[in-house]
Amino acid sequence: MTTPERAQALRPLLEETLKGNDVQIGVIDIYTGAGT
Amino acid sequence: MRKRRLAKQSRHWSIPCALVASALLLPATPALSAELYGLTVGIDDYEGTVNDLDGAVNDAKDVAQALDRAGAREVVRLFNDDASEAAITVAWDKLLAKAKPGDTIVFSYAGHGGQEPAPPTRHDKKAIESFLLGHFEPSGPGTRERILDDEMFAWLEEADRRGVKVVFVADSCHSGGMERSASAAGVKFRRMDYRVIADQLKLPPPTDTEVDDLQNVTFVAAVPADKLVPEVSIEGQKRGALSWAFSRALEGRADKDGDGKVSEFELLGYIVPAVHALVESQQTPQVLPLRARSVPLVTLREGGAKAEVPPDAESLKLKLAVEGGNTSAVSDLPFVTVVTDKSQADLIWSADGKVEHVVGGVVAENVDARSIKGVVSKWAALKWLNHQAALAPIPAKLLGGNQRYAVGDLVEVEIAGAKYPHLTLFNLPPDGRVEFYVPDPDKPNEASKDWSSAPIHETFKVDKPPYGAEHMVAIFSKNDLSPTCMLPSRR
Repeated sequence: MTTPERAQALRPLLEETLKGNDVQIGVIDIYTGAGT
Repeated sequence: MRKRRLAKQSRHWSIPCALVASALLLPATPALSAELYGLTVGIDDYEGTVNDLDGAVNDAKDVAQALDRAGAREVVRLFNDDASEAAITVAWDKLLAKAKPGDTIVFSYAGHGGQEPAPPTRHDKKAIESFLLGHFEPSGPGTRERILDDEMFAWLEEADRRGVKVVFVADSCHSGGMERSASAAGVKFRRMDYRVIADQLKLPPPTDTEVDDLQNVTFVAAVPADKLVPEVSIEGQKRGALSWAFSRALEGRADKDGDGKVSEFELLGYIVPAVHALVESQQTPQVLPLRARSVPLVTLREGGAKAEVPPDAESLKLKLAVEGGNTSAVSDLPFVTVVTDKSQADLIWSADGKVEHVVGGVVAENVDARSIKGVVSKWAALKWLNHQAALAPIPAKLLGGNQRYAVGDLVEVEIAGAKYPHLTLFNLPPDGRVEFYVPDPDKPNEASKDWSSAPIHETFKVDKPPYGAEHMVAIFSKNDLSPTCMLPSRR
């Protein structure tokens, strides 16, 4: 599976996996490099 | 960032979590007969068009609806032209007259804030902050259409004196910049610059009372004093992130201990990570004064959270603007809508290969027609995931601050306050790959570990490209998710 294919699969997989489950989610955004 | 350098759990608590934890140890004050009132003000329509906003009325309507669902006895709604200085004053005075000691008034303001030099007679302060109403103009009669911080403080002080609790929510800003000084052109901020000439507003006399002296007033601000508040797209509407999170808090999302009340600590513990999830951590709400005891703010009506209406699927699709590039590269991607209006976009892909998040800044570089699919698909997943995180967040933060990390830097991550034992931890680099950390098949002893027993402290090193925005995702679950084989490959 290529990177784009795997990335495309990510959202439906997450939706399916988390459906009906009691969860807490933390998303930590980490900006790297020299951009603005 | 590729290498999980350390894997240990520390005993270092983030402030909000420590406060929430201590709140759980203290009994809440009974408020059996306490009534809830609301005054929600939202202003999109300002004089002329250059200062118009898009999401302030949406915010005020949402807060009002959440107050209804929470069982408010009366909610006064004042939007645009109806939200004059006179109308707000009358509405406030009437609500304060109706409220008895122990009742709560939620007063929310969404619109522009401003800042102006204090007059020479006010030796106690250099600047005055203001809430600007729809017909505000910087000279003449229009100068009366603003509420100064001293005036607002006098209102809150009067409520405090009467023993009426007030939660004042300010979804506006007065000065400053963004956390990482990044945002795309076209993003609207809730601050207006002005200089008052021929002022017709009389300043209230100074008071010796400080915010910390108010026993019954809680001030909820969208950002610290030196930061800006952007309008962002949430569930298909332009919104202020604070008002969205505050509304969900009133619907029960912040009631962490399930006692039917939202305390100050619970409110802070919910809105900070929820807002972070909605705006790429570009704003951090403040709750003042933060008392060293649990203060119940609002008693919820049973079933409030169940009244939540899930957003439609279309609103959770990623909106992508393509600037000078070929849209055919992304036209077949599910969960992605290509838009021509950049002000409606979540991401902007430019012909120079940069991909920019509208408030987060540059998230990927050197992206061509082949690699854009991976980048955009990651963000499509992230948009859905961030929405889930905003509904059920867990406090997580970067100990080194919300900055851009250079090659060689260590990135320290701390996650605390989980109530579920199972952990799924993975990283999403800028290019759409997935780096899986937990569960780790090489560490079978972690399989039965209760990850909620202590805060998690991980350190990573920024060691190789691609650079841009990485997203560390921690999912704590009641049930073990690993049997469902969530991700197609762990490496």
